Amino acid sequence: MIEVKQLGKVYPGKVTEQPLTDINFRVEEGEMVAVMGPSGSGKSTLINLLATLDQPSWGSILIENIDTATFKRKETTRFRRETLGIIFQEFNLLDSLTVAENMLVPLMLSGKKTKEAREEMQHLAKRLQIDELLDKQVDEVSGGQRQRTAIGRALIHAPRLMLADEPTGALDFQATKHVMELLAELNAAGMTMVIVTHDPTVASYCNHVLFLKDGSIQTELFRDEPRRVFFQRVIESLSLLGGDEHHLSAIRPT
Amino acid sequence: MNLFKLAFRNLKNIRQNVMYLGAVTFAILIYYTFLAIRSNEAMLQANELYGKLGTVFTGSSVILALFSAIFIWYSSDFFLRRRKQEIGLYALLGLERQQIAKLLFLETMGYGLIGLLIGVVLGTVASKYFVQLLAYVMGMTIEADFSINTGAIGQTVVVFLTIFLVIALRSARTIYRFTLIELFKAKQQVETIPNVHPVLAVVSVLLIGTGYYLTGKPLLTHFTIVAPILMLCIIVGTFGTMSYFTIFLLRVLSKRLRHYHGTNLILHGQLISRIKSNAVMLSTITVITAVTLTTVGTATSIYYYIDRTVEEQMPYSLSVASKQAEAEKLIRSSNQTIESRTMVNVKNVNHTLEELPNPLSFTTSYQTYAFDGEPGQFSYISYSDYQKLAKSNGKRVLPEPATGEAIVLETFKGNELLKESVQSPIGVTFKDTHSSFRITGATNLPLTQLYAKKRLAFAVSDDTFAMMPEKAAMLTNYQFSDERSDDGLINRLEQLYGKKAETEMAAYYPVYAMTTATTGLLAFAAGFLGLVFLLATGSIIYFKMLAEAEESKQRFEIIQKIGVDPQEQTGIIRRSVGFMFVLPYLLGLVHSLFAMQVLQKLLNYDLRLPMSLAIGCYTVVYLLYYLVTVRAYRRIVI
Repeated sequence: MIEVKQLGKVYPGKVTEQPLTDINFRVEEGEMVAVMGPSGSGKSTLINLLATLDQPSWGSILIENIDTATFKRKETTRFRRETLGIIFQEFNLLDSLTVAENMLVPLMLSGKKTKEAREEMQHLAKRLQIDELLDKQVDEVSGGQRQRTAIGRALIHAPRLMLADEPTGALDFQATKHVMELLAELNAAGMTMVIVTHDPTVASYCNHVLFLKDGSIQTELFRDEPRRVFFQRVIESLSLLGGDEHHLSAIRPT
Repeated sequence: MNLFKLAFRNLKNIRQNVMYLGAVTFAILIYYTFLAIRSNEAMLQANELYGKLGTVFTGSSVILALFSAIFIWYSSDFFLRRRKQEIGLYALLGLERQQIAKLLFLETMGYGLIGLLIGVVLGTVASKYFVQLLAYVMGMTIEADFSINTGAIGQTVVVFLTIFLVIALRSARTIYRFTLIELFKAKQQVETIPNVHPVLAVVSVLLIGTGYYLTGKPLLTHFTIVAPILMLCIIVGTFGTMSYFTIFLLRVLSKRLRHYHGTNLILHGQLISRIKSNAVMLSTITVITAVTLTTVGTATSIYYYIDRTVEEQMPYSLSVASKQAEAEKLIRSSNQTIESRTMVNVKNVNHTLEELPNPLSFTTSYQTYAFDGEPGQFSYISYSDYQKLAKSNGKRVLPEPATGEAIVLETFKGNELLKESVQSPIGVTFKDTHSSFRITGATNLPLTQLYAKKRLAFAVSDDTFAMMPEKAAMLTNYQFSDERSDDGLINRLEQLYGKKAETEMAAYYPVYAMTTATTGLLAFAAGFLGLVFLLATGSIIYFKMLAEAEESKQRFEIIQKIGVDPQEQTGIIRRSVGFMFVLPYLLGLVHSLFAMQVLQKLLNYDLRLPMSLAIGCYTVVYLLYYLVTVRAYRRIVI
């Protein structure tokens, strides 16, 4: 699905941004991948590059065997609209629209018939358990509900690849669990996912974890054990790498 | 670092605030220029009339000052909004409220002073050219130079310092008006989605409709009662429409499925989330647009028809009632050559109003009668004179009236009231011996221009004319080769006639010069005000939209991320900005068309051409504003 080769990204003139120097990894179709690493290790940069929101300085990203650098502007837009679904930490919902309208945006952009689109949206909303809130403005609903709306928006056009940048970063414990179970369920149905997170709980739901530090991938973990056991392995790897581990030691899998 | 230094440092950060400073400078520039034109020495010397028309300028300058205040208020609001976060930061960094208030006050005053300086300097340059333009439209030739006008500077400084003082105090209050958290949130205000009030929406539209209906017959018949009601209907209706009908419209549209296609969904959200706070602005702009278009349209129309107005009043270059030979001698010695000469023998008879049965009593509109029932004067000419007149004016010659018959003549060009009122020959009975006439035909011919008021004349058969006991006056009308210039001939003629000049001679040129000067000045003032109004409305929308752009930055970031490409984003911007521009423009335009239609009825001129000219100019500048706004909006959010 995704093949990243010798990827680099530098920000000339900016010292604050951590550059990516040499990133190499593969994501197979149907995988659920977590990208972990200390704050400022370039996780978000990586996800932005994957989402074509940003251009790499060198190296290449192949998605479904096509180099994203060769995309023309129209193709980029189409790629983002058709292949990709993105979930953001800050939800990035349009405050001027209702829950239902936010979810409808991608379908409307792709020019789908409004009636069909509404049916699909209602169906999805039921699955996400937000069908009661459809006509509310987004600032009238809770954080967890907003994130589910955002997931709904990312899902509604049935993307083949889902990218998530700290999808649970703004959520409490309970909401995190709910969202991750939902994502795991979608993954089980065949959707490829790349999730940037600093939360080992989130990573423990995935079956492939990349550890990013100092601009490159330091370690990769593949999961072939129950989630609780995998969680311990993730914590251990984090400790080995140093960084965020000190405040994670108290965390137990849920 | 003390507050003055900090304020000064902020002032130096001019690139960020160049639009604000520009707006302020512009308002001052216009105001000062206007005052400078008014008291321009060269103009005052060149035309004594100019000084007397000062009231036009005084009234206009009051409107200008008011407008500048509103305009600066709006732009400073944008300026402040952009800086709310910065203000919050000062508070967070430990500056006391009082200090921050002082800082904002100093900054606002600082900008005001810079604006005053630049505005007055530029105004000095601009006024020279505006004076020349004014002289041109007034039909005068003068040489204007760059002059510094202390009176105008003084008045400008006083007016604008007052405005800035008020605005600076308001800026200073910002820190007290908001809590710290509000200051930081300034850029992400979400408005509640307004409720739909279908009844109010319909009532508003009906109010405008009623207003339009009233501009028809009701206004013309009961002007004083209907006019204020009409204004009230239109203004309240406009505000209602912008507040309720637009929401209603957007809501109804959103129910329609097709409406959601493509980026429409996002556009709709963008529009409806702001509509409530924009309603007042939109209605204000609508009213201003209507006023501007009407004012400029009226002025253009009147200026456009100067020739016709003068021609109606003065159909000949010169009419004299006596001393024909001496007058002709004077004319020959001047630059003018006589192109044609018509002579008419006229007998004037006084008739009281009661003597004229309907429908000739409509002649009251000719003001031949004094209103207290004094007899009015009617002129009689012989049929042979009528024939000469008709031929020299290129009119069809009507058949000779028999004894007891007459042709009724409108003696001035223009309003063809007779055609409507005297459709068939009607007997007129006078108490005198020669008093019974059957009207056999009606026409309009310029008899002479000696009689100040419009009057009716009758052409009777030569025999009847000869038998009339009144003494005949010999009137001579001349057409000159170049009646629009004068090398002192008029003055010499006036000397010739001495005290009798007012009744025995009437020339085209003085009326032409005076009419051109007055209408020229009026047109100039209207055009100037119109320009200011236009720039002000454009700028108000501009600043309002930019403030909105600042607040929408995040939304555009989001839609960029979810795959709306820049081209589509530009589309959304174009349409949402377009909505703000088009709505008040269209409604204002329709308002002004209804107003102009009333004017057209009053003046009885075809106003389509001058009106289109005025609207065309307005539209072009307005369109430019739209394009500039879209560009600036794009630069902020994309």
